[in-house]
Amino acid sequence: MHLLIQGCKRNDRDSQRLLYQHYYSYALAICLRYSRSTAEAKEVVNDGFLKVFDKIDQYNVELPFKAWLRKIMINASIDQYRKELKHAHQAPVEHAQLMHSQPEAVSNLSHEELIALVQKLTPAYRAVFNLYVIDGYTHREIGKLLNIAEGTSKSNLVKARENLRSMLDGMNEMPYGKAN
Amino acid sequence: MEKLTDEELDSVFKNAADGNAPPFDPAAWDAMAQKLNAPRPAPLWRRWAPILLLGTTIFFTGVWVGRTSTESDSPELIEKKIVVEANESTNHTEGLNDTESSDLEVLTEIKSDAHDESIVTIDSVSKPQSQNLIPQEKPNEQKSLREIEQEEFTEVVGLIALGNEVQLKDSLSEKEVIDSVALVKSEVDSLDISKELNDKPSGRRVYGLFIRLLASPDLSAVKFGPTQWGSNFGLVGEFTFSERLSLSTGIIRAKKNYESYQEEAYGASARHLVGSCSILDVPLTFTYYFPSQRKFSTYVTAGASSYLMLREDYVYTIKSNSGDRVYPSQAIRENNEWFKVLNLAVGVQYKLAPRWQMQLEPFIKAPLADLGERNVRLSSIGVFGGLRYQLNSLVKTP
Repeated sequence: MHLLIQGCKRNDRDSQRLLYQHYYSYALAICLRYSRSTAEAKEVVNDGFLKVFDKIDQYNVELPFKAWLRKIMINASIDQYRKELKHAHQAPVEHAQLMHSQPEAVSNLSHEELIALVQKLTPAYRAVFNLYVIDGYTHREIGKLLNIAEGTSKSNLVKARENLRSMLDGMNEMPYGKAN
Repeated sequence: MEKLTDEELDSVFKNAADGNAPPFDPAAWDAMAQKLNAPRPAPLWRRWAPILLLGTTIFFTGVWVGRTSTESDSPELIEKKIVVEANESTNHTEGLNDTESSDLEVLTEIKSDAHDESIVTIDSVSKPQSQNLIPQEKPNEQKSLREIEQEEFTEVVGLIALGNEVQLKDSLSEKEVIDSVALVKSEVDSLDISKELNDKPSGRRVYGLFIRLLASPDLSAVKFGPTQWGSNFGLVGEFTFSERLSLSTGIIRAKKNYESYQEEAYGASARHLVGSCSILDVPLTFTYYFPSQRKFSTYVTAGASSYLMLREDYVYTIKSNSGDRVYPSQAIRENNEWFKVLNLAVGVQYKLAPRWQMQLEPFIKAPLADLGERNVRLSSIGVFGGLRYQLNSLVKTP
Protein backbone atom coordinates (compact mmCIF):
# COMPACT_ATOMS: atom_id res chain seq x y z
CA MET A 1 0.00 0.00 0.00
CA HIS A 2 2.78 2.37 0.95
CA LEU A 3 4.50 1.68 -2.38
CA LEU A 4 1.26 2.38 -4.24
CA ILE A 5 0.89 5.72 -2.48
CA GLN A 6 4.50 6.62 -3.21
CA GLY A 7 3.96 5.68 -6.84
CA CYS A 8 0.86 7.86 -7.03
CA LYS A 9 2.84 10.74 -5.56
CA ARG A 10 5.29 10.33 -8.43
CA ASN A 11 2.32 10.38 -10.80
CA ASP A 12 3.09 6.84 -11.89
CA ARG A 13 0.15 5.64 -13.97
CA ASP A 14 0.48 1.96 -13.03
CA SER A 15 0.37 2.79 -9.34
CA GLN A 16 -2.68 4.95 -9.94
CA ARG A 17 -4.40 2.12 -11.79
CA LEU A 18 -3.68 -0.40 -9.04
CA LEU A 19 -4.89 1.95 -6.35
CA TYR A 20 -8.01 2.67 -8.37
CA GLN A 21 -8.76 -1.02 -8.85
CA HIS A 22 -8.14 -1.79 -5.19
CA TYR A 23 -10.50 0.86 -3.85
CA TYR A 24 -12.98 1.15 -6.66
CA SER A 25 -15.61 -1.05 -5.02
CA TYR A 26 -15.37 0.79 -1.72
CA ALA A 27 -15.62 4.19 -3.41
CA LEU A 28 -18.51 3.15 -5.62
CA ALA A 29 -20.45 1.84 -2.60
CA ILE A 30 -20.26 5.31 -1.06
CA CYS A 31 -21.16 7.19 -4.22
CA LEU A 32 -24.06 4.87 -5.05
CA ARG A 33 -25.87 5.96 -1.90
CA TYR A 34 -25.60 9.61 -2.87
CA SER A 35 -26.47 9.17 -6.53
CA ARG A 36 -29.71 8.40 -8.29
CA SER A 37 -28.16 5.83 -10.66
CA THR A 38 -25.15 3.59 -11.02
CA ALA A 39 -23.94 5.51 -14.08
CA GLU A 40 -23.98 8.76 -12.15
CA ALA A 41 -22.22 7.11 -9.21
CA LYS A 42 -19.43 5.90 -11.51
CA GLU A 43 -18.94 9.45 -12.78
CA VAL A 44 -18.68 10.71 -9.22
CA VAL A 45 -16.21 7.96 -8.33
CA ASN A 46 -13.94 9.10 -11.13
CA ASP A 47 -14.27 12.73 -10.08
CA GLY A 48 -13.35 11.64 -6.57
CA PHE A 49 -10.33 9.65 -7.72
CA LEU A 50 -9.17 12.63 -9.75
CA LYS A 51 -9.10 14.60 -6.50
CA VAL A 52 -7.34 11.72 -4.77
CA PHE A 53 -4.53 11.71 -7.35
CA ASP A 54 -4.32 15.51 -7.36
CA LYS A 55 -4.12 15.76 -3.59
CA ILE A 56 -2.21 12.59 -2.82
CA ASP A 57 0.68 14.70 -1.50
CA GLN A 58 -1.58 15.91 1.29
CA TYR A 59 -2.33 12.40 2.46
CA ASN A 60 -0.62 11.43 5.69
CA VAL A 61 0.55 7.84 5.41
CA GLU A 62 0.15 7.33 9.16
CA LEU A 63 -3.63 7.58 8.78
CA PRO A 64 -5.94 4.97 7.24
CA PHE A 65 -6.21 5.59 3.54
CA LYS A 66 -9.83 4.43 3.52
CA ALA A 67 -10.93 7.21 5.85
CA TRP A 68 -9.26 9.81 3.65
CA LEU A 69 -10.76 8.29 0.52
CA ARG A 70 -14.21 8.15 2.11
CA LYS A 71 -14.06 11.83 2.92
CA ILE A 72 -13.10 12.73 -0.62
CA MET A 73 -15.84 10.55 -2.09
CA ILE A 74 -18.47 12.14 0.15
CA ASN A 75 -17.26 15.60 -0.89
CA ALA A 76 -17.37 14.59 -4.55
CA SER A 77 -20.91 13.32 -4.02
CA ILE A 78 -21.93 16.60 -2.40
CA ASP A 79 -20.46 18.48 -5.37
CA GLN A 80 -22.61 16.32 -7.62
CA TYR A 81 -25.61 17.00 -5.40
CA ARG A 82 -25.10 20.74 -5.86
CA LYS A 83 -24.95 20.35 -9.62
CA GLU A 84 -28.04 18.19 -9.49
CA LEU A 85 -29.93 20.80 -7.50
CA LYS A 86 -29.42 23.34 -10.25
CA HIS A 87 -31.14 21.12 -12.78
CA ALA A 88 -33.42 18.80 -10.88
CA HIS A 89 -36.95 19.63 -9.93
CA GLN A 90 -37.59 18.65 -6.35
CA ALA A 91 -40.56 16.32 -6.27
CA PRO A 92 -42.99 17.18 -3.51
CA VAL A 93 -43.18 14.52 -0.85
CA GLU A 94 -46.13 15.70 1.15
CA HIS A 95 -48.02 12.75 -0.30
CA ALA A 96 -45.74 10.39 1.58
CA GLN A 97 -47.73 8.52 4.13
CA LEU A 98 -46.70 7.15 7.45
CA MET A 99 -47.05 3.45 7.05
CA HIS A 100 -45.94 0.55 9.15
CA SER A 101 -42.99 -1.20 7.60
CA GLN A 102 -42.25 -4.46 9.32
CA PRO A 103 -38.83 -5.55 10.55
CA GLU A 104 -39.18 -9.15 9.32
CA ALA A 105 -40.00 -7.99 5.79
CA VAL A 106 -36.97 -5.67 5.71
CA SER A 107 -34.61 -8.48 6.60
CA ASN A 108 -35.49 -10.20 3.33
CA LEU A 109 -34.06 -7.35 1.29
CA SER A 110 -30.51 -7.40 0.00
CA HIS A 111 -28.03 -4.59 0.53
CA GLU A 112 -28.37 -3.59 -3.12
CA GLU A 113 -32.15 -3.36 -2.85
CA LEU A 114 -31.95 -1.21 0.24
CA ILE A 115 -29.42 1.12 -1.39
CA ALA A 116 -31.68 1.28 -4.43
CA LEU A 117 -34.40 2.58 -2.13
CA VAL A 118 -32.11 5.33 -0.89
CA GLN A 119 -31.33 6.26 -4.49
CA LYS A 120 -35.04 6.81 -5.09
CA LEU A 121 -35.18 9.61 -2.56
CA THR A 122 -35.08 13.16 -3.82
CA PRO A 123 -31.56 14.65 -3.87
CA ALA A 124 -32.12 16.76 -0.76
CA TYR A 125 -33.56 13.91 1.31
CA ARG A 126 -30.99 11.46 0.01
CA ALA A 127 -28.09 13.73 0.89
CA VAL A 128 -29.36 14.44 4.40
CA PHE A 129 -30.23 10.79 5.08
CA ASN A 130 -26.80 9.60 3.93
CA LEU A 131 -24.88 12.26 5.76
CA TYR A 132 -26.77 11.88 9.01
CA VAL A 133 -27.54 8.17 9.23
CA ILE A 134 -24.75 6.50 7.29
CA ASP A 135 -21.85 8.93 7.58
CA GLY A 136 -22.51 10.35 11.03
CA TYR A 137 -22.72 14.07 10.37
CA THR A 138 -24.70 16.30 12.70
CA HIS A 139 -27.52 18.50 11.48
CA ARG A 140 -25.38 21.57 12.00
CA GLU A 141 -22.62 20.10 9.86
CA ILE A 142 -25.10 19.05 7.22
CA GLY A 143 -26.56 22.54 7.22
CA LYS A 144 -23.17 24.06 6.51
CA LEU A 145 -22.25 21.42 3.95
CA LEU A 146 -25.47 21.66 1.96
CA ASN A 147 -26.05 25.34 2.64
CA ILE A 148 -29.40 24.76 4.32
CA ALA A 149 -30.76 25.58 7.75
CA GLU A 150 -30.27 23.11 10.58
CA GLY A 151 -34.06 22.84 10.87
CA THR A 152 -34.35 22.03 7.19
CA SER A 153 -31.86 19.22 7.65
CA LYS A 154 -33.92 17.78 10.51
CA SER A 155 -37.10 18.13 8.55
CA ASN A 156 -35.55 16.49 5.48
CA LEU A 157 -34.39 13.59 7.60
CA VAL A 158 -37.87 12.99 8.98
CA LYS A 159 -39.32 13.07 5.49
CA ALA A 160 -36.58 10.81 4.12
CA ARG A 161 -37.37 8.24 6.78
CA GLU A 162 -41.08 8.52 6.03
CA ASN A 163 -40.39 7.97 2.35
CA LEU A 164 -38.20 4.98 3.03
CA ARG A 165 -40.83 3.44 5.28
CA SER A 166 -43.40 4.06 2.60
CA MET A 167 -41.23 2.40 -0.02
CA LEU A 168 -40.54 -0.57 2.24
CA ASP A 169 -44.27 -1.03 2.78
CA GLY A 170 -44.83 -0.80 -0.94
CA MET A 171 -42.37 -3.61 -1.42
CA ASN A 172 -44.12 -5.71 1.21
CA GLU A 173 -47.27 -5.62 -0.84
CA MET A 174 -45.46 -7.01 -3.89
CA PRO A 175 -45.31 -10.78 -4.53
CA TYR A 176 -42.43 -12.41 -2.58
CA GLY A 177 -41.72 -9.05 -0.95
CA LYS A 178 -39.06 -8.16 -3.52
CA ALA A 179 -38.55 -5.09 -5.60
CA ASN A 180 -37.85 -5.16 -9.30
CA MET B 1 -47.46 -5.50 13.32
CA GLU B 2 -44.70 -3.39 14.83
CA LYS B 3 -43.56 -0.25 13.17
CA LEU B 4 -39.81 0.21 12.53
CA THR B 5 -38.43 2.84 14.89
CA ASP B 6 -36.10 5.52 13.61
CA GLU B 7 -33.12 3.75 15.18
CA GLU B 8 -34.08 0.43 13.63
CA LEU B 9 -34.61 1.96 10.24
CA ASP B 10 -31.27 3.76 10.46
CA SER B 11 -29.51 0.55 11.48
CA VAL B 12 -31.01 -1.36 8.55
CA PHE B 13 -29.71 1.15 6.04
CA LYS B 14 -26.38 1.64 7.81
CA ASN B 15 -25.76 -2.11 7.69
CA ALA B 16 -26.76 -2.20 4.05
CA ALA B 17 -24.34 0.62 3.25
CA ASP B 18 -21.51 -1.06 5.15
CA GLY B 19 -22.17 -4.41 3.54
CA ASN B 20 -22.68 -3.23 -0.01
CA ALA B 21 -19.69 -4.07 -2.22
CA PRO B 22 -20.33 -3.54 -5.93
CA PRO B 23 -17.98 -5.46 -8.25
CA PHE B 24 -15.13 -3.78 -10.12
CA ASP B 25 -15.96 -2.63 -13.61
CA PRO B 26 -12.91 -3.14 -15.92
CA ALA B 27 -14.17 -0.42 -18.26
CA ALA B 28 -14.14 2.13 -15.44
CA TRP B 29 -10.37 2.55 -15.51
CA ASP B 30 -10.46 3.56 -19.18
CA ALA B 31 -12.76 6.45 -18.34
CA MET B 32 -10.52 7.34 -15.42
CA ALA B 33 -7.39 7.25 -17.57
CA GLN B 34 -9.06 9.64 -20.01
CA LYS B 35 -9.78 12.03 -17.17
CA LEU B 36 -6.19 11.83 -15.98
CA ASN B 37 -4.82 12.50 -19.45
CA ALA B 38 -7.05 15.49 -20.08
CA PRO B 39 -5.34 18.88 -19.51
CA ARG B 40 -6.43 20.58 -16.31
CA PRO B 41 -6.18 24.25 -15.39
CA ALA B 42 -3.76 25.15 -12.64
CA PRO B 43 -5.35 25.91 -9.28
CA LEU B 44 -6.18 29.56 -8.66
CA TRP B 45 -3.62 29.97 -5.88
CA ARG B 46 -0.88 28.63 -8.11
CA ARG B 47 -1.71 31.14 -10.80
CA TRP B 48 -1.51 34.02 -8.34
CA ALA B 49 1.42 32.71 -6.29
CA PRO B 50 4.23 34.35 -8.33
CA ILE B 51 2.53 37.76 -8.16
CA LEU B 52 1.90 37.35 -4.44
CA LEU B 53 5.48 36.29 -3.86
CA LEU B 54 6.84 39.22 -5.84
CA GLY B 55 4.59 41.67 -4.01
CA THR B 56 5.58 40.29 -0.63
CA THR B 57 9.27 40.47 -1.53
CA ILE B 58 8.96 44.08 -2.69
CA PHE B 59 7.04 45.02 0.43
CA PHE B 60 9.49 43.50 2.88
CA THR B 61 12.48 44.80 0.95
CA GLY B 62 10.96 48.26 1.18
CA VAL B 63 10.37 47.90 4.89
CA TRP B 64 13.88 46.62 5.43
CA VAL B 65 15.50 49.38 3.37
CA GLY B 66 13.41 52.00 5.13
CA ARG B 67 14.35 50.64 8.51
CA THR B 68 18.06 50.33 7.87
CA SER B 69 18.25 53.81 6.36
CA THR B 70 17.00 55.25 9.64
CA GLU B 71 19.22 53.10 11.82
CA SER B 72 21.49 55.30 13.86
CA ASP B 73 24.48 53.01 13.66
CA SER B 74 24.43 52.39 9.94
CA PRO B 75 27.77 51.69 8.22
CA GLU B 76 27.67 54.99 6.31
CA LEU B 77 27.40 56.95 9.51
CA ILE B 78 30.22 55.03 11.12
CA GLU B 79 32.34 55.77 8.09
CA LYS B 80 31.45 59.46 8.32
CA LYS B 81 32.40 59.44 11.97
CA ILE B 82 35.90 58.22 11.17
CA VAL B 83 36.31 60.96 8.58
CA VAL B 84 35.00 63.60 10.95
CA GLU B 85 37.29 62.47 13.73
CA ALA B 86 40.21 62.58 11.39
CA ASN B 87 39.29 66.08 10.25
CA GLU B 88 38.82 67.23 13.76
CA SER B 89 42.12 65.97 15.01
CA THR B 90 43.92 67.80 12.20
CA ASN B 91 41.86 71.01 12.00
CA HIS B 92 40.60 71.75 15.47
CA THR B 93 43.00 70.29 17.97
CA GLU B 94 46.15 71.99 16.84
CA GLY B 95 47.97 73.38 19.82
CA LEU B 96 46.12 71.19 22.31
CA ASN B 97 48.01 68.70 24.35
CA ASP B 98 47.29 64.96 24.27
CA THR B 99 44.82 65.02 27.16
CA GLU B 100 42.76 67.81 25.65
CA SER B 101 42.77 66.12 22.31
CA SER B 102 41.52 62.87 23.81
CA ASP B 103 38.75 64.78 25.60
CA LEU B 104 37.45 65.94 22.28
CA GLU B 105 37.59 62.43 20.90
CA VAL B 106 35.72 61.16 23.92
CA LEU B 107 33.00 63.68 23.31
CA THR B 108 32.62 62.61 19.73
CA GLU B 109 32.41 59.02 20.84
CA ILE B 110 29.80 59.56 23.55
CA LYS B 111 27.03 59.20 21.10
CA SER B 112 27.89 58.04 17.68
CA ASP B 113 24.41 58.91 16.41
CA ALA B 114 25.20 62.56 16.53
CA HIS B 115 28.87 62.53 15.62
CA ASP B 116 28.72 64.62 12.48
CA GLU B 117 26.74 67.29 14.30
CA SER B 118 28.86 66.99 17.44
CA ILE B 119 31.78 68.44 15.55
CA VAL B 120 29.71 71.52 14.94
CA THR B 121 28.96 71.71 18.64
CA ILE B 122 32.56 71.44 19.68
CA ASP B 123 33.62 73.78 16.99
CA SER B 124 31.12 76.30 18.17
CA VAL B 125 32.06 76.08 21.85
CA SER B 126 35.58 76.91 20.89
CA LYS B 127 34.17 80.21 19.67
CA PRO B 128 32.35 82.75 21.79
CA GLN B 129 28.94 81.43 20.59
CA SER B 130 28.82 78.76 23.29
CA GLN B 131 25.02 78.92 23.59
CA ASN B 132 25.02 76.55 20.66
CA LEU B 133 25.66 73.81 23.22
CA ILE B 134 21.94 73.96 24.08
CA PRO B 135 20.26 74.75 20.81
CA GLN B 136 17.01 76.62 20.70
CA GLU B 137 13.80 75.00 19.51
CA LYS B 138 12.99 75.64 15.88
CA PRO B 139 9.26 76.10 15.82
CA ASN B 140 7.28 75.15 12.70
CA GLU B 141 10.34 73.67 11.15
CA GLN B 142 10.78 70.12 9.96
CA LYS B 143 13.70 68.49 11.76
CA SER B 144 15.55 65.42 10.79
CA LEU B 145 15.80 62.51 13.15
CA ARG B 146 19.49 63.13 13.64
CA GLU B 147 18.86 66.75 14.54
CA ILE B 148 16.34 65.73 17.18
CA GLU B 149 18.66 63.15 18.68
CA GLN B 150 21.52 65.65 18.71
CA GLU B 151 19.34 68.15 20.54
CA GLU B 152 18.40 65.60 23.16
CA PHE B 153 21.99 64.56 23.56
CA THR B 154 23.26 68.11 24.02
CA GLU B 155 20.44 68.76 26.46
CA VAL B 156 21.63 65.88 28.59
CA VAL B 157 25.23 67.05 28.45
CA GLY B 158 24.18 70.59 29.29
CA LEU B 159 22.00 69.55 32.21
CA ILE B 160 24.73 67.40 33.71
CA ALA B 161 27.19 70.20 33.33
CA LEU B 162 24.83 72.56 35.14
CA GLY B 163 24.29 69.93 37.83
CA ASN B 164 28.00 70.01 38.51
CA GLU B 165 27.90 73.79 38.82
CA VAL B 166 29.85 74.34 35.67
CA GLN B 167 29.16 77.78 34.33
CA LEU B 168 28.79 77.73 30.59
CA LYS B 169 29.15 81.34 29.68
CA ASP B 170 29.88 83.14 26.48
CA SER B 171 33.23 84.10 27.89
CA LEU B 172 34.37 80.53 28.51
CA SER B 173 37.61 79.76 26.90
CA GLU B 174 38.14 76.68 24.84
CA LYS B 175 40.26 75.19 27.63
CA GLU B 176 37.52 75.70 30.21
CA VAL B 177 34.94 74.12 28.01
CA ILE B 178 37.12 71.09 27.44
CA ASP B 179 37.66 70.76 31.18
CA SER B 180 33.92 70.92 31.70
CA VAL B 181 33.41 68.26 29.15
CA ALA B 182 35.99 66.05 30.83
CA LEU B 183 34.17 66.55 34.12
CA VAL B 184 30.83 65.37 32.79
CA LYS B 185 32.31 62.68 30.63
CA SER B 186 32.21 59.95 33.25
CA GLU B 187 28.58 60.65 34.08
CA VAL B 188 27.56 60.72 30.45
CA ASP B 189 29.31 57.41 29.95
CA SER B 190 27.22 55.84 32.67
CA LEU B 191 23.97 57.13 31.20
CA ASP B 192 21.77 54.84 29.17
CA ILE B 193 20.78 57.61 26.83
CA SER B 194 18.39 55.50 24.87
CA LYS B 195 16.60 54.60 28.10
CA GLU B 196 16.31 58.25 29.03
CA LEU B 197 14.80 59.01 25.68
CA ASN B 198 12.45 56.03 25.83
CA ASP B 199 11.14 56.85 29.27
CA LYS B 200 10.51 60.43 28.33
CA PRO B 201 6.76 60.74 27.92
CA SER B 202 5.93 62.33 24.62
CA GLY B 203 3.73 61.91 21.60
CA ARG B 204 6.52 60.46 19.52
CA ARG B 205 6.23 57.28 17.63
CA VAL B 206 8.64 54.54 18.53
CA TYR B 207 9.24 51.85 15.96
CA GLY B 208 10.77 48.60 17.03
CA LEU B 209 10.83 44.97 16.06
CA PHE B 210 10.66 42.15 18.55
CA ILE B 211 10.38 38.40 18.41
CA ARG B 212 8.70 36.31 21.05
CA LEU B 213 9.21 32.64 21.75
CA LEU B 214 6.13 31.19 23.45
CA ALA B 215 4.98 27.95 25.02
CA SER B 216 1.95 27.06 27.07
CA PRO B 217 -0.32 24.28 28.22
CA ASP B 218 -3.71 24.35 26.56
CA LEU B 219 -7.04 23.45 28.09
CA SER B 220 -9.75 23.09 25.44
CA ALA B 221 -13.46 22.43 25.59
CA VAL B 222 -16.48 22.48 23.33
CA LYS B 223 -18.79 25.11 24.76
CA PHE B 224 -18.70 24.39 28.48
CA GLY B 225 -18.17 20.66 28.15
CA PRO B 226 -15.40 18.50 29.59
CA THR B 227 -11.86 19.82 29.18
CA GLN B 228 -8.77 18.10 27.82
CA TRP B 229 -5.10 19.07 27.96
CA GLY B 230 -3.06 20.10 24.93
CA SER B 231 -0.09 22.34 24.21
CA ASN B 232 1.06 25.44 22.29
CA PHE B 233 4.51 26.37 20.97
CA GLY B 234 5.06 29.44 18.89
CA LEU B 235 7.21 32.16 17.41
CA VAL B 236 5.64 35.60 17.15
CA GLY B 237 6.93 38.81 15.61
CA GLU B 238 5.96 42.09 17.23
CA PHE B 239 6.10 45.57 15.73
CA THR B 240 5.76 48.53 18.05
CA PHE B 241 4.38 51.64 16.44
CA SER B 242 4.15 53.80 19.52
CA GLU B 243 5.64 53.75 22.97
CA ARG B 244 2.70 51.73 24.30
CA LEU B 245 1.10 49.95 21.36
CA SER B 246 2.27 47.07 19.25
CA LEU B 247 0.96 44.70 16.59
CA SER B 248 1.90 41.03 16.67
CA THR B 249 1.62 38.10 14.35
CA GLY B 250 3.31 34.75 14.00
CA ILE B 251 2.75 31.03 14.13
CA ILE B 252 1.76 28.91 17.08
CA ARG B 253 1.70 25.16 16.70
CA ALA B 254 -1.21 23.98 18.83
CA LYS B 255 -2.37 20.54 19.83
CA LYS B 256 -5.94 20.65 21.07
CA ASN B 257 -7.84 17.70 22.52
CA TYR B 258 -11.48 17.85 23.48
CA GLU B 259 -14.73 15.96 23.73
CA SER B 260 -18.41 16.77 23.76
CA TYR B 261 -21.42 14.86 24.90
CA GLN B 262 -24.92 15.74 23.84
CA GLU B 263 -28.10 13.97 24.82
CA GLU B 264 -30.90 13.89 22.31
CA ALA B 265 -34.54 12.79 22.24
CA TYR B 266 -35.00 13.08 25.99
CA GLY B 267 -32.02 10.87 26.78
CA ALA B 268 -33.06 8.05 24.41
CA SER B 269 -29.94 8.66 22.34
CA ALA B 270 -26.71 10.59 22.79
CA ARG B 271 -23.92 11.86 20.64
CA HIS B 272 -20.37 11.64 21.88
CA LEU B 273 -17.51 13.29 20.03
CA VAL B 274 -13.84 12.89 20.89
CA GLY B 275 -11.51 15.08 18.89
CA SER B 276 -7.79 15.71 18.59
CA CYS B 277 -6.48 18.46 16.34
CA SER B 278 -3.10 19.74 15.24
CA ILE B 279 -3.48 23.38 14.39
CA LEU B 280 -1.36 26.25 13.13
CA ASP B 281 -2.69 29.20 15.07
CA VAL B 282 -1.92 32.48 13.29
CA PRO B 283 -2.72 35.32 15.68
CA LEU B 284 -3.06 38.98 14.77
CA THR B 285 -3.18 40.96 17.98
CA PHE B 286 -2.74 44.44 19.39
CA THR B 287 -0.95 44.88 22.69
CA TYR B 288 -1.03 47.83 25.04
CA TYR B 289 1.85 48.16 27.50
CA PHE B 290 1.00 50.01 30.68
CA PRO B 291 3.57 52.63 31.76
CA SER B 292 5.99 51.36 34.36
CA GLN B 293 9.22 52.64 35.88
CA ARG B 294 10.22 49.26 37.23
CA LYS B 295 11.58 46.13 35.64
CA PHE B 296 8.09 44.64 35.88
CA SER B 297 5.40 45.89 33.55
CA THR B 298 1.97 44.72 32.53
CA TYR B 299 0.10 44.62 29.26
CA VAL B 300 -3.18 43.59 27.68
CA THR B 301 -3.65 41.93 24.32
CA ALA B 302 -6.67 41.58 22.05
CA GLY B 303 -7.10 40.33 18.53
CA ALA B 304 -8.16 37.44 16.37
CA SER B 305 -6.63 34.12 15.47
CA SER B 306 -6.84 32.08 12.31
CA TYR B 307 -6.76 28.32 12.73
CA LEU B 308 -5.14 26.37 9.92
CA MET B 309 -6.23 22.83 10.69
CA LEU B 310 -3.29 20.55 9.89
CA ARG B 311 -4.89 17.36 11.07
CA GLU B 312 -8.20 16.54 12.72
CA ASP B 313 -9.00 13.14 14.19
CA TYR B 314 -12.48 12.42 15.43
CA VAL B 315 -14.40 9.51 16.84
CA TYR B 316 -18.07 10.22 16.76
CA THR B 317 -20.45 7.82 18.48
CA ILE B 318 -24.22 7.77 18.44
CA LYS B 319 -25.46 5.83 21.42
CA SER B 320 -29.01 4.49 21.30
CA ASN B 321 -31.10 1.59 22.49
CA SER B 322 -30.54 -0.25 19.22
CA GLY B 323 -26.76 -0.09 19.72
CA ASP B 324 -23.89 2.31 19.20
CA ARG B 325 -22.95 3.59 15.79
CA VAL B 326 -19.32 4.69 15.62
CA TYR B 327 -18.01 7.05 12.95
CA PRO B 328 -14.24 7.60 13.03
CA SER B 329 -13.02 10.29 10.66
CA GLN B 330 -9.96 12.32 9.80
CA ALA B 331 -9.34 15.48 7.89
CA ILE B 332 -5.90 16.54 6.75
CA ARG B 333 -5.36 20.21 5.90
CA GLU B 334 -8.93 20.61 4.77
CA ASN B 335 -10.13 23.44 6.94
CA ASN B 336 -8.70 26.92 7.34
CA GLU B 337 -10.68 29.09 9.72
CA TRP B 338 -9.69 32.69 9.06
CA PHE B 339 -10.09 35.10 11.99
CA LYS B 340 -12.76 32.98 13.63
CA VAL B 341 -11.20 32.94 17.09
CA LEU B 342 -11.11 35.85 19.51
CA ASN B 343 -7.83 36.27 21.41
CA LEU B 344 -7.77 37.97 24.80
CA ALA B 345 -4.84 38.02 27.19
CA VAL B 346 -3.26 39.92 30.04
CA GLY B 347 0.42 39.64 30.73
CA VAL B 348 3.25 40.59 33.00
CA GLN B 349 6.75 41.17 31.71
CA TYR B 350 10.11 41.28 33.49
CA LYS B 351 13.15 42.92 31.96
CA LEU B 352 16.04 40.47 32.07
CA ALA B 353 18.54 42.48 30.01
CA PRO B 354 18.38 45.61 27.84
CA ARG B 355 16.97 43.60 24.93
CA TRP B 356 15.45 40.63 26.71
CA GLN B 357 12.17 40.35 28.55
CA MET B 358 10.47 37.37 30.15
CA GLN B 359 6.68 37.19 29.84
CA LEU B 360 3.85 35.35 31.53
CA GLU B 361 0.53 35.68 29.74
CA PRO B 362 -2.77 34.03 30.72
CA PHE B 363 -5.00 33.87 27.65
CA ILE B 364 -8.41 32.85 26.44
CA LYS B 365 -9.29 31.91 22.87
CA ALA B 366 -13.02 32.05 22.24
CA PRO B 367 -14.65 30.89 19.00
CA LEU B 368 -16.51 33.44 16.87
CA ALA B 369 -17.88 30.69 14.60
CA ASP B 370 -17.97 26.93 14.23
CA LEU B 371 -14.53 25.46 13.69
CA GLY B 372 -13.06 22.54 11.81
CA GLU B 373 -14.46 19.47 10.18
CA ARG B 374 -17.02 18.83 12.90
CA ASN B 375 -18.02 22.48 13.28
CA VAL B 376 -17.32 22.67 16.97
CA ARG B 377 -17.34 25.75 19.17
CA LEU B 378 -13.88 25.18 20.58
CA SER B 379 -12.62 27.39 23.40
CA SER B 380 -9.16 27.30 24.92
CA ILE B 381 -7.44 28.77 27.93
CA GLY B 382 -3.85 28.62 29.08
CA VAL B 383 -0.85 30.59 30.26
CA PHE B 384 1.88 31.47 27.80
CA GLY B 385 5.39 31.62 29.14
CA GLY B 386 7.72 33.41 26.78
CA LEU B 387 10.89 35.31 25.99
CA ARG B 388 10.78 38.60 24.11
CA TYR B 389 13.84 39.86 22.27
CA GLN B 390 14.33 43.32 20.76
CA LEU B 391 15.74 42.93 17.26
CA ASN B 392 16.66 46.52 16.47
CA SER B 393 17.38 49.85 18.12
CA LEU B 394 14.20 51.79 18.65
CA VAL B 395 13.61 54.33 15.92
CA LYS B 396 11.75 57.45 16.98
CA THR B 397 9.93 60.09 15.02
CA PRO B 398 8.21 63.21 16.32
